[in-house]
Amino acid sequence: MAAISGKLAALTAAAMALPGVHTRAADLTSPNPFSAEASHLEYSESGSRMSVRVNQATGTLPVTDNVLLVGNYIQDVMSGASPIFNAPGAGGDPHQVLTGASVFDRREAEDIGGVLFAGDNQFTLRQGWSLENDYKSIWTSIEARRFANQKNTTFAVGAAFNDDGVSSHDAPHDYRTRIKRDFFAGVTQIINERSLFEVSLAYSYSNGYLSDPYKLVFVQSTGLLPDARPSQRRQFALTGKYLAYVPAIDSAFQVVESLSTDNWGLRSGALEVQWKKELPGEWLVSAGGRLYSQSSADFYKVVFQTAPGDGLHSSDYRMAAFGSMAWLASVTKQIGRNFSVQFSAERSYRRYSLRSGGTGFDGDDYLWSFYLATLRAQF
Amino acid sequence: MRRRIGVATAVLALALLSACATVQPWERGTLAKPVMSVDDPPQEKTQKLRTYKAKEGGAAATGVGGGGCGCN
Amino acid sequence: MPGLYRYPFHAMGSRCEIRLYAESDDETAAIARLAAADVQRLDAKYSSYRDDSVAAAINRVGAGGGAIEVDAETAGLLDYADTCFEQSEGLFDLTSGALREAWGAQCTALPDATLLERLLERVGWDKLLWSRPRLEFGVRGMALDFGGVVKEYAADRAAVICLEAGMKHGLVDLGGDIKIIGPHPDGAPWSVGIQHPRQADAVMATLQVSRGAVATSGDYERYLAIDGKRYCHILSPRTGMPVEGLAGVSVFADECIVAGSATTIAMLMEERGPSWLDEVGLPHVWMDKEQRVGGTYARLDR
Repeated sequence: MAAISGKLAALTAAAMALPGVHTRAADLTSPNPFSAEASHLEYSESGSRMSVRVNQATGTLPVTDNVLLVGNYIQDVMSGASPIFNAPGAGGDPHQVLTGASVFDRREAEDIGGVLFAGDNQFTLRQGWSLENDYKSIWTSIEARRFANQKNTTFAVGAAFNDDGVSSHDAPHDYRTRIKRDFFAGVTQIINERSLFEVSLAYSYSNGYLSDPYKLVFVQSTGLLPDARPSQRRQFALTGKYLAYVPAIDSAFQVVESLSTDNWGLRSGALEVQWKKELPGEWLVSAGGRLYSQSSADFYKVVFQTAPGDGLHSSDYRMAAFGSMAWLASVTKQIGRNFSVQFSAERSYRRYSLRSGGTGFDGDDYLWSFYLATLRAQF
Repeated sequence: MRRRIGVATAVLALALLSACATVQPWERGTLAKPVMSVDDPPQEKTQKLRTYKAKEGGAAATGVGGGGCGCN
Repeated sequence: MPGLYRYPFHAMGSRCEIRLYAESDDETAAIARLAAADVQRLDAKYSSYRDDSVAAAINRVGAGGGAIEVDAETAGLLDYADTCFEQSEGLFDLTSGALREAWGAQCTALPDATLLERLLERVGWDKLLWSRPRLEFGVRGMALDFGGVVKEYAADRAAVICLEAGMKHGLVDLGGDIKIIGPHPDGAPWSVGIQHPRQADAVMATLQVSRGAVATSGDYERYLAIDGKRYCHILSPRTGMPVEGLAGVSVFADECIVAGSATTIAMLMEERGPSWLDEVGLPHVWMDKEQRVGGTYARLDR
């Protein structure tokens, strides 16, 4: 944009010199100071596998003109079966071996934090924890945002520090720790009156016990060994998002593309497309799809013939090469000035055939879906 | 292939950055529409990210930011 | 859940209104009274029609060709008027006040050319010696007309009074010159409709503003009808005659006083108004006597 004209600069400078024309008060950018949100999610997988119920509650409270307190609570109740390892089948085809269907697990996590609004800047600090019998996690996150070009550009940087400890139901005193450090930087940029885009880069460093204590691998020559992953993981992710309004159909389109790679040999890519439209009566609907694909980790095999020399082995279906196709949809209704209700659903078909390279098998294929209901209040 | 996509993203981002106009506050009507909110509502975003993190091996990301979430 | 409270009042010869969002009427009524009181203070202080105003005191000195020391607020306004004079090629000129003698509200015929010539000898900002805080009149019979700056200055001040009292959402409307305190509580901008200069029930443009100010000038606000022709209230300090060219102009700026002087200068520039506005770079919309529309807002078809 061209610099302010000399004429305008002169007039503005003279105006600023007039008494009482400019306020000394800080500019508060917080739009919805008091708010509360509660949601319930039902997640289930095909083939008598896991199902999860999640309840979440969030509240925000302004404490001064510039500070907003935020609190979160989340509770997961898991039941159903989970794959433990893959066993070679009689005809040479491996198959998954699941836990008994009676596994029942409950997790709770809380976090509190604050947001500070300072003119064109915004700072967020959060502290969270989750303390269970077999899992402890304490984390801190910080984020800074800066608005520039009359809020056409937003810069954001942040970091999160996780300290976790994991044991298992079977060996509760066998407590192993791990740390995770996340860093990200991103830019949101308005392109014109009806479109914008975002680019962000994230780096994650994990160190410690990164294996899954509930998983095993089948080794032909030896039998069953525990899941053993490297003690260090470095992951990079690049995400791009584009959102544009199309007046001809009074709808918005959003495309999100995300790529990641790490030092475990696991590379992934995701592409999500969404169509969003406002309907009369304060309804908002959206529908879209997501395509995902990943390669397998270096230490992954469906079934091992011999125990690898470096002691690293995993048959976890999440470390395999696979892809997925998902449908997602959402309906939101604004109720009066202060309340809104949202129903969302996503259904994802995991498919070995959509993989990026490496190894896996379609015996791991399943379908997951979730239904989420959220109630929001803002004052 | 991944590197090519990564480079293409960076080039596209730079191209878009240079093509940007500065939209004045009174021109923000369209951008202020509910369908144009760039982030999902917080709890929705949290649930999506937790699900992807639990079921996939890649780094789940839906946009800028995130930070700690205490996910297993 | 905040409600919208409206506080109308009369000042500067116009219908004024302060709109504030608040939980209840109690806090806002007092704040609006304070803000309206400041507007009325300025109205009284710079009115050309009151004998006890500061403007009248200045003009009594001007009549005799003397000098006077002014207070800080008046000094600020004179400095501002000085800048406007420079940026408008000498067309924005507070000393046009002397021309009022020829163009009183009771005027039913065009003033005599010799009268205008005589009055024009007493018009001219360069005939003043302004050295803050001392104002010296170089010629006898001069008069200052603060009408071109005070209303918009009052709008800026009124908004600041509301902001400093804790108001975050609302606006100040002084006869169509608007200063935004803050957008609607849900963040939505105010829809400001600009009166069509020729059709009473139509708008020339609708602006979505969530901050800043919008000021409007036109030949339809206060005018004299003489022999069936419309003469607007803005007088050229060069010819002594009302300006012709633009039927109406509206400008957006951060401060109302800047927006207001920009509209006044655009009107004074007559046919050169649109190009002057383009030079200044503020968003604007204008309509000329042929009802042609142009300017930044003219290209947005909403």
